[in-house]
Amino acid sequence: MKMLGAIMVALGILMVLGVGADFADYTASRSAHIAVVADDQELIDLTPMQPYAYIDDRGVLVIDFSANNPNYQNESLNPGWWGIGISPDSRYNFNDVFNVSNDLWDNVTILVTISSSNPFVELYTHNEESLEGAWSSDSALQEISFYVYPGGEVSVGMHLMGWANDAGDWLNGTLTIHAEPADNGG
Amino acid sequence: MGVKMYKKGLTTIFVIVLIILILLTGTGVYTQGDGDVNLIYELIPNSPYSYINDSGKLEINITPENPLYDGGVAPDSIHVIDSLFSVKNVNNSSGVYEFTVSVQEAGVLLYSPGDISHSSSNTASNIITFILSPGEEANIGMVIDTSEYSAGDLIEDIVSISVTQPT
Repeated sequence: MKMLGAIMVALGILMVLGVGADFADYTASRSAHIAVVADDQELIDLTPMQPYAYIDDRGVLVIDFSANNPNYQNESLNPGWWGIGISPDSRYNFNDVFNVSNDLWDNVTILVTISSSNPFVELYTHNEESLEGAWSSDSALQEISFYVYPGGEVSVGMHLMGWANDAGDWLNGTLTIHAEPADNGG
Repeated sequence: MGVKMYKKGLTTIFVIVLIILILLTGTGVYTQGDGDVNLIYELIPNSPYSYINDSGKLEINITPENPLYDGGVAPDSIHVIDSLFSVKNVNNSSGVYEFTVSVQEAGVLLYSPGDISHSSSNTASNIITFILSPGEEANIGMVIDTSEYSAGDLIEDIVSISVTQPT
């Protein structure tokens, strides 16, 4: 009888464990850490390639062709002469203002689209990367797209049209950069 | 005779205790090295941005401290990571469960094809729910909107996973 009792107790433990396993609370908390870093340390880097482009205090790429640019009158960058902007009735082409690179951890090719909110600020790429044919300042467009392979980098140039403006005017705008895996919808 | 019975009883108890231990480990209750798994579900890292850490728990890490990669997300950007990790119903009985996954921090949202109301990045939410039958798996995507952040900020969030039986 003692033995039977022991078995019953053991079975009892088993049953309690079994029931407990099905009705336990399976709430779990897991941690997520996300670092906010400057544009040139991003997974999709935007790297200034000229003094006209720089990374601001917040970590955002800024392109500034004016005396407000912190690189303005920086002796080490442009000794001797500093322009303070672009002239009215003129067109300016700046090759390779900034680079877009693909440092994603997923090892995928990305399709990058850059659009300018200002119609007087157009974009182009070198080396025929632009899918729309915006391969030089002559064929610059308000919106361009191109592929960036894993570890790859594409330079973006800017075409500024001053002819519509008077001296003292500002050409302000925002560049919106969108990137998605190249196999998304072909 | 009495002594013999006593010994036999001990042996029986011992055997039964052993069986209990085998049952517990066999069903995968927090065994080490198996990934982030319990009796009901398994959390499976599906991208380089998540992994199983030294404590056997799923961890999402998009920082230079990630053991494999370097980098982060820029201010004023929106990152969408499809299938950051997945939740799989690994219960070996016929248990159908409803899962709730939530995050707390500003700018961090979730979506999953399993949640009709929050199935894509456009409809992402800080709380998503989906139902999984045994063997079924749901991908969890994350949207990170850094319009309220600056370079140098660290977003420390908690991903909570809870299970109920659908009524």
